[in-house]
Amino acid sequence: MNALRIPAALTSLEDVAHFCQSLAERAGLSTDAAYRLRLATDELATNVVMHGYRGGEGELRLAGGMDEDTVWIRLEDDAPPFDPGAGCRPPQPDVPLAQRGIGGLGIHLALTSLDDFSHRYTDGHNSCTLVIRRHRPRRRPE
Amino acid sequence: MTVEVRSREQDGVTVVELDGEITSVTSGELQQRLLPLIGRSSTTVIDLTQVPYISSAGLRTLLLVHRRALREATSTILVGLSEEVRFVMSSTGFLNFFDVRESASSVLGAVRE
Repeated sequence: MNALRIPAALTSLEDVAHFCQSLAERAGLSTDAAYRLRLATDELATNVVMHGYRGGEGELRLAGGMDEDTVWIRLEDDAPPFDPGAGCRPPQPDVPLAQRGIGGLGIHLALTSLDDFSHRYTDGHNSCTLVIRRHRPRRRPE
Repeated sequence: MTVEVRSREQDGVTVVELDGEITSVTSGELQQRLLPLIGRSSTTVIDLTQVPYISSAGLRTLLLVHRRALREATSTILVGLSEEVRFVMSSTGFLNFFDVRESASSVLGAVRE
């Protein structure tokens, strides 16, 4: 397992990307699975920076590891309680793109990319657990 | 970290090659450089061959490109999408709203005919 503590700022997101890529490499994830792990972590971390702390100061804590079947990342922050899995609406395919709002797309992408996701809020911390399966090939949406 | 933007006019088409990862860190500067290029020709080809990663920030950039093109009454064609970029666009319903083709050369050939 390895861990990372960084200020909640957009510039820290490159560290988040490196953290995911190095974990994916050690786990021997496929290109597709490695992309999804990074994308989900990137989107959820970006959301904490932009909306969780509302542009103010704060900290992001990442921990990552793997077992036989899965690779996981735990993302923690001290922003107000927010469960990304609650109330996330899928994009509306019938609404023309020019008229769509862009909000919520990142969280939708994160949750679509992962094989499992959970959130809990305890002792003033949000804790999200992001899980990608190591071996099972995943069907892509058409 | 930035996304390089290289554009050229060829056969009445504006070809814009992007090079780099489109993230919440890089997308702001990319938009400033990319949007003014939309509307210079009746067709803009955006080549994503050298874009290994896009997040929702990249989708937001593409949405702004789409709106600008509608306003200018020009068409936009995306080429060189990797499997992963395609996944990001298809799982958010963006893929159906863009004309997506294999490569810039295939578009230019078709336009010439």
